[in-house]
Amino acid sequence: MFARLGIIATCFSTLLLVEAAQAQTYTASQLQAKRMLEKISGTKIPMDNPLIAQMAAKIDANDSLGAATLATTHPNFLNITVKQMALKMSTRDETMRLPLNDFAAAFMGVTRDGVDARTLLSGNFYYMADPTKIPTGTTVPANLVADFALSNNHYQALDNLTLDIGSVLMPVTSGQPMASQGDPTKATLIINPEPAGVLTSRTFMLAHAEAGTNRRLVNYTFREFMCTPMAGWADTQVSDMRIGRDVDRFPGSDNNKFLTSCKGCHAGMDAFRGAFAKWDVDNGANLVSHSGLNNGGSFDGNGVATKMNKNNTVFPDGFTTINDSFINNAQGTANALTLGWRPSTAGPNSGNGAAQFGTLIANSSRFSQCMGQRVYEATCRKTMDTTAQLQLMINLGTYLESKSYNLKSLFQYVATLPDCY
Amino acid sequence: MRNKRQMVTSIVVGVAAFALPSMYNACSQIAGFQLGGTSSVASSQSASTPVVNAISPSAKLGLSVLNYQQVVTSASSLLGVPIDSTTASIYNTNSTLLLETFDVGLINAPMWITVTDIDSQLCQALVTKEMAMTAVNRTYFGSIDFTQPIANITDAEFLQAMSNFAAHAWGRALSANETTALTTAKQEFVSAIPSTTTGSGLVTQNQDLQIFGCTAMMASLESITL
Repeated sequence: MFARLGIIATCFSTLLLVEAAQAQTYTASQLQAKRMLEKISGTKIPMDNPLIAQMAAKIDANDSLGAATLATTHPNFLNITVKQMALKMSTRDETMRLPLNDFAAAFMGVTRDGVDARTLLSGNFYYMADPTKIPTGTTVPANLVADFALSNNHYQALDNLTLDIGSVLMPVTSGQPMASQGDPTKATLIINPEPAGVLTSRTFMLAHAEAGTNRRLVNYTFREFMCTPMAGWADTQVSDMRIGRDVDRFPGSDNNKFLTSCKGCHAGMDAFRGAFAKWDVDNGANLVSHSGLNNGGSFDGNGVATKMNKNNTVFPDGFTTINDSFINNAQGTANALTLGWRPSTAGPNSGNGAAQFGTLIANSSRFSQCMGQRVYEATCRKTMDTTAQLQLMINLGTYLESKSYNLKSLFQYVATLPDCY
Repeated sequence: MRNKRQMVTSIVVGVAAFALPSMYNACSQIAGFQLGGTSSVASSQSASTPVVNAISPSAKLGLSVLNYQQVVTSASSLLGVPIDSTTASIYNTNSTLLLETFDVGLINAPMWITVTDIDSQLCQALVTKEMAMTAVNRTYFGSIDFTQPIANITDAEFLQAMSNFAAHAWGRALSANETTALTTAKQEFVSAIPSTTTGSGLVTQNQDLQIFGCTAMMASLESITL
């Protein structure tokens, strides 16, 4: 019945167009506070919310950042704004219409706790619900094998409309959980031997290490954390020595096509993908596998996923992956300027494994700028024009770095920008 | 009681049948509320001039629509009522009809009907909640005597309740046009009630009127955009 009442109400609602108010009943600073709080929380907020009066007082005292800091205490800042931003980065579909997962939970936790955002790409941690904070009557399965390593049960159970997820998450630093095999009745807990923050989360691995050749892990790391799709950093001017044997150098019997097209993407992507050489997904078991764990997957004698060297007859003289080393081929003139590589533990040129790859990415200036873009778009609810608004993107990256990569600070700063309204 | 409510339902459906065309006209007016900027721009261009309309409707309006989870969370927040299992069920069943992006240009009729479906459920909870309170302690319906039949609810009392929604949710007073539209809508709602209905049904109709008004305010464009 109420749905039908609603239908009529819908009709009527459409008549209530946004019109200039005849008379305001609140001060300008209260209205500004409301708008800021709504941007940060991603939710409409009633005027009698206590935060609005507190924020308005800050605004009256010319302390917009203080007002924004108060706004980030609203539960929906984490539960909606940060969660949805992270969910969109977590899978191949790049949709936010997903249940909570380990990737998004880590993002929420790192933001809430003010942890250096770079650890999202290299840290040995994950976030789970603190069992002492789960409300009575809510059941959240928490078996590390069945509900973390082999399914999304734990996070999915947290993601209901009434639970304040951001307040129940707690960091766990005893190692990311993995399973010895795909059968939950027989599997035992094993610890991820090569943790790299959310890059080695179950969600990211299942999305990008499933089938394929592990190039997708590199591609999507750049997409999500550098805001740069493959076409944006393709470079035909760099060495092709790392391009795998499965890439035809004479597509359509035309080497020129390889040199002017295929090489541009593969030279950079293949050079990096060695970082994920020891990772695989056991498709049948929906299981993330690592060669160091003997827990499924398909690996050769060097501990390298066999898919890294598959189709090796296409161009037998191509690069053969024998370990998890990688080199940075994205250092051509344009890429060096755009991506802004900096020295890190991996160095700007090469490294080994997923964590060093993540460290390299996270220390680039582009990572900081990308986080700026993502926070801007999540908070201001606008698409950033990275050409027209390049300076803003750079400024946001600089701000994040000046705040020790504290994402919450970045959200607060963005909410004070006139450009956000 | 149940039969009377069903009777009201049938009346509502009948009115809806009349109202739907105008509803969609109204929707298209909102769409044209310069969402349809492309066509108007295009029509003013010469044939040889390529039309470039890179600015999204959202950017033009400075508005962004609430996405799927934000719709239900916002309504709950504005009304101050928790999301109960019935509302959650409606949301879970229909959330795919709600938008994922913030682009107001993607607003469509199924989405809006889903919004009102969710809002009406929460408005019912609000009416139930505030009926149990003394008038002075109510946030929205302080002007409404829920023991009275619908015919005894004056336009001024109804408008006061709607003004409370405008103030709390939008931070402003009702405009003159909104006041007129609300008054007309209330009168049409009341006139659609069959004169044969008597007794407690009339009081129920009073509640329905408040749910109707609440839903209208919550499902309005200003309540579902930031």
